Amino acid sequence: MTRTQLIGLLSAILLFVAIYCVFSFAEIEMTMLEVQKIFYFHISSAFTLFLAFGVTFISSILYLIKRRDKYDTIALVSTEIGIVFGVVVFTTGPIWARFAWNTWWNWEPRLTSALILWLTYIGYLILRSALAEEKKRGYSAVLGIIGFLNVPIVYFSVELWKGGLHPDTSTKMNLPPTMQIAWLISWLALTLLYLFLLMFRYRVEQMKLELETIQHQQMGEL
Amino acid sequence: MHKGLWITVLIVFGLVFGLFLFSQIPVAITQDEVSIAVSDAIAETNAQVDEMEVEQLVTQKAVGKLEARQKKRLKFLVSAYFIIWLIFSLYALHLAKMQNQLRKRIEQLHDGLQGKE
Repeated sequence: MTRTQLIGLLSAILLFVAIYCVFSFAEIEMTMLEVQKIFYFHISSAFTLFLAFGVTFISSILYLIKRRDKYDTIALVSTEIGIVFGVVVFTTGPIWARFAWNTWWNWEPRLTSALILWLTYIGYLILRSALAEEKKRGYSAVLGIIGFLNVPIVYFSVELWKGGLHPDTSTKMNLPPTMQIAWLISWLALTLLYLFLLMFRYRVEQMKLELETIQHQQMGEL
Repeated sequence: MHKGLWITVLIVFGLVFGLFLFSQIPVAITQDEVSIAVSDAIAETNAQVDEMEVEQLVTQKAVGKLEARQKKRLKFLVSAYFIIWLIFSLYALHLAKMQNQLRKRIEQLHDGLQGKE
């Protein structure tokens, strides 16, 4: 069993434990009742999204300093996976919002800043596909760094701009112990899932590079 | 790998869905919900003569309303978890498909290079 498969297996097991904890162990919240259970994977996905873009940020800095292709590849694959986690956040969020706030979307600080963050990294992928090979790595690394500056703004948006619909950052500390445990296990499970997808996607990207090298060799022979 | 992943995804879906269907979700009803449901039911009930009948109708209506609300809540919950499962499964399948295509192409090119030699 390879390291990637082992992490994949561990993440699958932990996802089951997380689902068990969410549905059977964590107590029911008395305002939103069963719908509140969306919270565990919604918030965990948002935190994993921050982690993914954090990896992009660090890899982009390392690429600009050391100019090694592997850092650029890690930044690219981490961005892609971060965007996938973003899709989870932006689909489960409106389901929650429709029930809690009677609307699918609201232009409040947390939602708006998170959307800007997500769109910035979609822009990162568009930029990569639009630029020539020699330019795309440097320019996208710069965007990968600038984009991450929005993460603290998203996180502290409720404190920065009063009047939002999301609760402030201290709410998670006031959760009952069973809810806190279920949330932490869900977060750990999604972090492992992120790690698995990162290693899997990185291998695919390496295969792409290998294919390009062989094709160049063949072209050289012709 | 690709076929194995499909089977895994289907098994995982079955297990998650089974866990969701068969795990006991306690029905928690708040005092506010009971009051709202009872007052709504009283307002909508036309029976005026038999008090027992009125009480029965009110109870039926209140229980009906509470069940309908729980159904609605569960619909939201299932939708959210189904979407999460769908997104990750589709992405994993996309990666597996891409990996298979690349592996086949690399093998073809390697075979081509060896043939020339």
